[in-house]
Amino acid sequence: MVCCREKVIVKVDSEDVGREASAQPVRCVLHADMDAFFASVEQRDHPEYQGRPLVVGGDGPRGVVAAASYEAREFGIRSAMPSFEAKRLCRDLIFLRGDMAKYSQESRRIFSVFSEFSPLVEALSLDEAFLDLTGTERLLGPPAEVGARLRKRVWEETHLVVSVGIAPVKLVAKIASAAAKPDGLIEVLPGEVRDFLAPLPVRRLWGVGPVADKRLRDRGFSQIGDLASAEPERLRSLLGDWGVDLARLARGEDVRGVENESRAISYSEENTFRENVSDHALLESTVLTHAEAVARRLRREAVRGRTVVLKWRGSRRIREGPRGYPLHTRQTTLPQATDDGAVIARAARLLLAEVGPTDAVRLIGVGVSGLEDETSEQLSLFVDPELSGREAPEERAALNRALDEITSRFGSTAVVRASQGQAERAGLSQQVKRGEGSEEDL
Amino acid sequence: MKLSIAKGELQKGLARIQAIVEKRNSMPILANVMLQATEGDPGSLEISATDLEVGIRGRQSAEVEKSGGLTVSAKTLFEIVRELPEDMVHLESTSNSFLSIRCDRSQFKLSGTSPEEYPTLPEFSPEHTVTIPSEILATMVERTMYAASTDETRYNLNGVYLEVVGETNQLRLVATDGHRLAMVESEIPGDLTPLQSGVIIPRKGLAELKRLLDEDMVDEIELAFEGNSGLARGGEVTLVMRLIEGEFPNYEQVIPGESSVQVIVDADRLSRALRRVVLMSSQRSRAVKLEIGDRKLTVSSTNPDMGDASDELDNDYDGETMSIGFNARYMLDALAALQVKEIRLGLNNDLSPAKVKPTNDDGALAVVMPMRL
Repeated sequence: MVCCREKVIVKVDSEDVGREASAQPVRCVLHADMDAFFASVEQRDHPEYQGRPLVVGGDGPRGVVAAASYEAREFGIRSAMPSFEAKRLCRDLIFLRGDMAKYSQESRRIFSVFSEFSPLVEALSLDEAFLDLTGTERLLGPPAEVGARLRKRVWEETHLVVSVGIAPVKLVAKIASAAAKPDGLIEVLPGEVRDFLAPLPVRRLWGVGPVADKRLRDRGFSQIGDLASAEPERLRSLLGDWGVDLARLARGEDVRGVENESRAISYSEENTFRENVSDHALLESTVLTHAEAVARRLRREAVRGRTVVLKWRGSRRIREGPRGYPLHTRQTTLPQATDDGAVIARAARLLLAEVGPTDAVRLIGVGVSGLEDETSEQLSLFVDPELSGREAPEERAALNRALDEITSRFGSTAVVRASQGQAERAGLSQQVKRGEGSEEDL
Repeated sequence: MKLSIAKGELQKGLARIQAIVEKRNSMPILANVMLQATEGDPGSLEISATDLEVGIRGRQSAEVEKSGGLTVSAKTLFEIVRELPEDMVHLESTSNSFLSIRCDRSQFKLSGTSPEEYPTLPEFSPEHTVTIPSEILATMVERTMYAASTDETRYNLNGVYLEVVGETNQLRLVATDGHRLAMVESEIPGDLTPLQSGVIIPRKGLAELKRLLDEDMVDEIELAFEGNSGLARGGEVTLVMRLIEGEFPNYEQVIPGESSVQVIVDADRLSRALRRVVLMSSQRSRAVKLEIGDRKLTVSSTNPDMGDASDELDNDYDGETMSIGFNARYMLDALAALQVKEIRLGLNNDLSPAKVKPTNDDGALAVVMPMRL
């Protein structure tokens, strides 16, 4: 893959800047989004995959595509598409289960490059972020040049390609980076925002899903420009207050600033089974695996949690759609915050045994919330005799550090507990929930 | 049932049971109080209530015309009686389990239930009881109760452990929540032999016991434990409770012996310093740092979101400097409960438990586990 193609910069005459001007100072937001991130990492590390259609995702009947290379996209393969459909679309598809540890490591390198360009970096996921460039022009140069340099630095550090969108508001920066893909950069100047948005379909606006999209199009709002010029009252009657907000977005009036990563409020990991599982031993070993993985992430982020959550989806559908299976959660609060997988596993297993599923499950997961910074830890008078292994807390901490070291070098399956079987898992997913209530899939 | 009773007497009997009537609606009848009148000279009105874990029965003197009983809402009856004038109150059960309440020119009719529907108090009449002066036991309870755990998953720590140690007249109370521990010992005049093995008294039962110990007329209290039942009797009041079944942890092993660093500090001044400095610590951890050396004790806290604070106390220690972190709450609780002027703080290193003891060695001590800062 080529590093930096000629940069694509959209320039529109800004004769009507006055219309855009508002009381707030004009911001400059850069949205950086890795191109086909997981797939690109695999193609980089396996030269034999380069130029070939490749997908990272869950195989098995319920797996979905997590990332598709551009070659795969030519066959119509998209992320979130069921894996079997992707395989149907392309016979020669290379299908990989993926290596989350490797992608996270890559992500840390990418973010460290991002932080060279702005102190204000808002991570949206492993491979996507907003950077606030407001007021950096004097120091770093014109935004479009900053964007080009950022793309170059990411390539130098990782040999991966990132596309960049630059605009005065977040929404537009994000749409611009999508439009710049693959391997491009688009800057939308303050005066161009409305013209840039106008021809785009309304679905590109945040919050417009399939249902709202259909309602809007049925009423003749198919492009963002239609919304921007609509009577507010008409939108209100159609969509309520949200309709008015939407029109504001359509005019490019997105007031949200770039925010440093808000604090995580929970970490969780879950998986969908290839086939529904009712075997208690298998559920238990899966729960143990999740507990260890969540604990590793807690330790990596230097936090501890007090609340352990067990989550599962029943196997009997109650509604249409992939989320139509009933979701259950049960939680318990520990006497003391922990980052120890054995302690989390013990609590999760207790929940599983006492208030857990009574029927076959489709998905099971473990989460930890009630997070506390690791910096001050209340020590315990008694060595909890129920701790598996009966080590003292100090020894357990040392053991965990050693395990983390091994895992970071050799992957999460290098060392497993004896009771930790490998369940047949279709899709494994990790989540972080942050302060504003948005849930990110990692 | 028909009787006359002084308003003050009735109010006292009803106030006593308010804390244990069930507030949650699991069994509606547990929100009621049982009234039972017995003819005689003098006659008496027995006022009792239970939440199935703890039960209280008190006897107030009354002029009883006709024996009998019923149950009515404990809260409503208490609120009515509180508002009545200081006069004789006339209570009478009418047909359909109504309670008629008359006092001066006020009149109420309160609906109730027949006494048969009320669950019986855990019935327990032990053969042997021991007698303890109320004041001694009250102080012992005050000095330990705060350290009991409120975490329901550690049910065996949800109470205060009571046992007889050494000679048969040495009573010991211990409580811990796993992070701190409180222990107190007192010599009891009299024989404690019937209290042979240790028991765990639940927090709620202990709160009721404390209330009973604080009653004016109760100078002595009789205690008895058998199986999983406990009984306390003082004056005209009997308290019965279900004990916590479970094993109390081996607490003796976590009480530090000799400490390598010992500093003597004024309890009140240390409390004030902690209370000031904790204002700048994180709400969640309440972590403060104690630094000892150079003939002073420095209490400090740092909070990246807010700022920092420090406070100093003089003392005699000029050995090697050491620093240790604590949850200020735990230290403050211990200092308050010890109720003494001066304490000896014993430390070994920043990861081992601290021992807080009154300098007059009055039998009480607290152990607080540090925080890793």
